[in-house]
Amino acid sequence: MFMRTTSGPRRVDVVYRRIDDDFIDPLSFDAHSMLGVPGLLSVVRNGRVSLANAIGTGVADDKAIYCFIPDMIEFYLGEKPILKNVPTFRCALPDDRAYVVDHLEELVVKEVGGSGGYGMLVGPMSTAEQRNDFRHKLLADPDNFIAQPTLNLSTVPTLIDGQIVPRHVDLRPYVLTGETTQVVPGGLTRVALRDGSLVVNSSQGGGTKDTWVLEA
Amino acid sequence: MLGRTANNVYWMARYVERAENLARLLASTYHMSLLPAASGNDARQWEAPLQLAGDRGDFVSRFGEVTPGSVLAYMALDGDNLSSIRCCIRLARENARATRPELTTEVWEGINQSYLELEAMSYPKLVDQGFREFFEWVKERSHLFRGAIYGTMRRGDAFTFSRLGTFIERADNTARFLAIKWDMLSPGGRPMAAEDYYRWGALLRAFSAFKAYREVYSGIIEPRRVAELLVLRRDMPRSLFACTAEVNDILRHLRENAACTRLSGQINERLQRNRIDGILRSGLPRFLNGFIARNNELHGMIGQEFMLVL
Repeated sequence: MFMRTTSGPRRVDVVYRRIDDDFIDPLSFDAHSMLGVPGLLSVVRNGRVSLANAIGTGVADDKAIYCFIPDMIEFYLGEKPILKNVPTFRCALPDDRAYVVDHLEELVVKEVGGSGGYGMLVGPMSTAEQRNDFRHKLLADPDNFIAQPTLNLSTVPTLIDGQIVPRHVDLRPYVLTGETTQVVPGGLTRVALRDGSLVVNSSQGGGTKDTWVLEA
Repeated sequence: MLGRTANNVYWMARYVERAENLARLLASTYHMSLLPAASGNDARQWEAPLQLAGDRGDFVSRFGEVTPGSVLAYMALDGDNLSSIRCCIRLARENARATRPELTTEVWEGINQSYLELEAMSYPKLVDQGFREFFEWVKERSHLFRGAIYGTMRRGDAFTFSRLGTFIERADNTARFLAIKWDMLSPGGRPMAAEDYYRWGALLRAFSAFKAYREVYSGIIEPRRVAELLVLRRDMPRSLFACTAEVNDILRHLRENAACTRLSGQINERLQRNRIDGILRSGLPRFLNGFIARNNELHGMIGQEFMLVL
């Protein structure tokens, strides 16, 4: 596999890929894809290029996996987790499911394969009708959902239409793990620009804030 | 550098240069239109911008008659005319955005600011602000863009390919501009009148060459000398000779033995060998059209050599 550079074709050894399997090779998967690299799969098959992440991966994208993280830490490292998980209900389990259905107005319910703030219910912000709709969806396919208590996100003063008003934010730290583990002095602060909203995803109109690290 | 990235910075620079030259042409046409009508070619003047960078059929179907206001609206701000100043700046900014990590903050902020201010511009606002002021603004933004590139960018591939785009585009624009205006302005058999002096002066000003003409030739403005100044003078930054010399220097620095480098050498050499009287004998527009075709061929070869554009 080669990339086209100003000094001619240059061999590529590793591809860091972020697009879905369906789109990475129009010759092998979705023929209508405008993304990806035609013929990539045959190069991978011949061992001529490495993909990170490999085709078919994505298990960590499943939100239900989150419940097993403490167990994984114990299994692989023989240690107790330092940071506690947010309590998470797997709607696949009858007891969890019953609790979630009874407490929809307190919980955030998400599809396990969802992202970008789509396909979720924020209980405290929802109407009775939205909860009712969501209850039906959940009961029709319970394996597809998890639920967590609604977290109280911090707010920061934000300039909206010339006025300074509070808006919810969250922080994504960046942690690099190799021989050592480092928390990068910086991070991504995301802000929900709609009044009261807890959805900070940029795909839903969320913005970003400068992140100040006072001491590192 | 990725060929695609080189292609982005190259086109970014081409579109900014194109917007500037279009502003120059429109400003010059507007300026000339304020002169008293002399040889009956006033209506024709407004055809020039359409010839240079427009689609006449599209214009007529949407704007109707060729009037100064409609041509200015179409060429300056029309979002559906891909050659308008607005579209050039949009495309320049889109190319810059696609390759944002290759640019310094100054270059990106400058081009983004131009884009944002232009998006907020409407025809009534343009009339209110004044055409002359608007065209000056476009020129200033382009000066700022080139200055930021020259003053802040590392002398790497991104710098080089943006400079290449600037001079390929400028050579093309100078040739087209001059080819269109030449026939319109040429007095034919009749003696030069007072208006002609102003018209040729306006043409020189469109290339920021009025003062240079005075310094180089002094005396009255003669079409022959105007042509010499804008085609063959090596010390005039918008002349064909100067642009092709820049292109040739850049290409030799990039790849001495490439086919595109040979062609750019030939193009420049031909200008070096020619004398203006010889060119005028066989017709300046004919000469310029030949130049435009070769310059465009060079553009294609640069794409194949460095950008692997399929």
